[in-house]
Amino acid sequence: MFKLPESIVDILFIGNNISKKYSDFNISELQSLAYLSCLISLYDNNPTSFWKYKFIKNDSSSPYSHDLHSNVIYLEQIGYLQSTSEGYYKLSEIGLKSLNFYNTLSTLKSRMKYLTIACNSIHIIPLNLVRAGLENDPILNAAYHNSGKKLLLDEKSIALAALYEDFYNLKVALNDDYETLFAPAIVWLESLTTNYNYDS
Amino acid sequence: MIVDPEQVNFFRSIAQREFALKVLDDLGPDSLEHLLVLTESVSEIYKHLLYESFEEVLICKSLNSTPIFEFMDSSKVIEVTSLNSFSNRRGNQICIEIVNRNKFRICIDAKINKNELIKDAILYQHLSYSEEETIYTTNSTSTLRQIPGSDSYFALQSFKELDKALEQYAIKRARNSNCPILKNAWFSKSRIFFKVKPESLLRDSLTDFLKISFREEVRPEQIVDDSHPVDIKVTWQMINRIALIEIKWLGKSLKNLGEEFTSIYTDARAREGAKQLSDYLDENIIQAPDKNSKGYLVIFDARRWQTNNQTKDISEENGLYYINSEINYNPKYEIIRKDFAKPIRFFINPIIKLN
Repeated sequence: MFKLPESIVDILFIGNNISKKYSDFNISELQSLAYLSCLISLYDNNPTSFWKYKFIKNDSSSPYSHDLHSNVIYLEQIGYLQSTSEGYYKLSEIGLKSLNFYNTLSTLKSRMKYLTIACNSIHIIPLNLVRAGLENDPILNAAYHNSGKKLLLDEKSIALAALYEDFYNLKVALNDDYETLFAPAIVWLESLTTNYNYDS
Repeated sequence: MIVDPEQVNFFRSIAQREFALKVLDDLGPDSLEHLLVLTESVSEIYKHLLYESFEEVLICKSLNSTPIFEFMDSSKVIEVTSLNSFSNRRGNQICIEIVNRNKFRICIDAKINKNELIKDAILYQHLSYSEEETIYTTNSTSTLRQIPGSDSYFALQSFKELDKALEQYAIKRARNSNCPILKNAWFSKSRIFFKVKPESLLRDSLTDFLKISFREEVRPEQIVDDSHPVDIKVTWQMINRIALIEIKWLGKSLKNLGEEFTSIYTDARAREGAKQLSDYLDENIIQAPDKNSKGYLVIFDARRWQTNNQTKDISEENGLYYINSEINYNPKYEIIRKDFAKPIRFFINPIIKLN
C-alpha cells in the first residue's frame, strides 16, 4: 500500500518534538499538531492541497487523519517508532536517523517551517491548552454539532471562509510587524484559549 | 475581504499582552530562539527542582555569549550539566543561568536583584508567596496566566491514567473549590449549599481540568442515547477505549436564604447514579459494540450536618461531618461488572467559621 511520505515526515517530526517535552506521544496529540501545522500553512497563503493529506472531525470532535493513524501503525511495525505504554510511542534510533535524513531534504523545507512553528508553540502555550484551543477554531467549532465524522478544510465550506476571515483580520492586526510566522500563530492560538484565561 | 475592527482589536489586545510577542517586540526576532530555550529549560528544570520550596526562583537566558553571572563572586556559582543536579537544592532564593540546554549555572541565596540580570537577558521569575510568574526583558514585563490546579505555568501536569487525573482533581481543585468554575457553583462563599442546578458547572469544572491535564480526548456531555446523556466522554484513539463519566452531587441547593431547598440529595442519590451509569453502559454496548467502554461515577460531596435554610455559617464539626463518610453502594457494580470503575467521591470542604 502507498505510504504518503509527507505523513511519515509529520509523524517523525511532531512525534519527536512532543517526546522531547513529555517523554512520548499519543496519536491524538500528533493529530492536533499536524492539523495546527496545516492551518499555519493556510495562513501563509498555501492552498489546502499543499498539505497532501486530509483531516476529518472524528467522533470526539477532534481533527483526525487516517494517513497519520495508519502510518503510526506502519512505522511501529517497521521499527521507526517504539511503544512506551499502551497507545504511546517515541522514535527509535532508526526513526531518529530517518528524521535527520528528512531534515536535510530541500523539498521538505517549507513543510518543516510549519511543523517547527506548531511544535515550538507548545513551549509557549502548554500542549493541552493548544489542543483545547484548536477545538474553538472556526472549522472544528462549526463541525462540533455535526454528529459523526466530517471532512475539515473543505474549500467550499462556510467554515473555511470564516477561518480565512480570521486570518485576514489577524494579518491586519499584526500589520507585518513580525518576520516570523510564529507571532501570528501564537496570537491566534491565544485567541482560541481565552476560555482558559482564568484570571482575565 | 472586509476588515472586522472588533476582531482586529481583539487580536491586537492579545498581541500586546502575550509574553512571547512582548519579548519579540522588545528584543527583536533573534530573541525567539533564546526565549524558546528559556521556556523549554524552565519546564525541564521544574521536573527536578522543588521550586515551590523557594521564596523566589529566577531563571535567565543570556542574549549573547557573555555569562550573566560574570558579576558574581565565582565561589558562589555552581556549574551543572545534569538536570538531576537540581533535585537536592534548597534555600530561599535560587538563581539559574541557562548557558545552553545542557549546561546551567546556579547561585543560591546570593541575594541577586532581578534588575541586575535583565540587561542582556530574558528573565523568568516565580514568587511562591503570590504564586505569580513573570517574564522580564529590559523594557517589558509579562505576568503569566495562572492555571488552577497547577503550581506553575511551566509545570502543568499531563496524566496518561484517568484515575490519577481524577485523584489530582480531587486534591487540587475540588477539595477547596480552587477553580473559578467550581467557585461559581456555590450559593455563598461559605460553601455550605450549592446554587440551584449546579450540575453543568460541576461538569465544566471537571472537563476543564481533564482537558488541560489529561493526554487523551475529553469531551463534555456526549449522548449515549436520547434519554441517557453521560456528562463527560474520554476517548483513547489508538486503543479503542472510552470512559463514560457520570457526575452526581450530594448536599443541598438553595435559591434564596430562608426559602425551601430546591434539592436535597443524600447518599441515595449516589446509588441512583450508580444504577443509571450501569444502564448507560448497557446501552453503550448496543450503541458502540466495537468500543471497550468503562464507566466512572464521580460524586461531588457537599453534605453538611445540621443545616437549615437559614444557615449562613458552619462549624468544623458540622462542616466536615461527612468528610470520611464513604457511600455504601448496593450492589457494588465495580465488583459485579468489569466495565465499572470504583466510584470516586470528591468531598468539598466548606469555609469553617472559627469561634
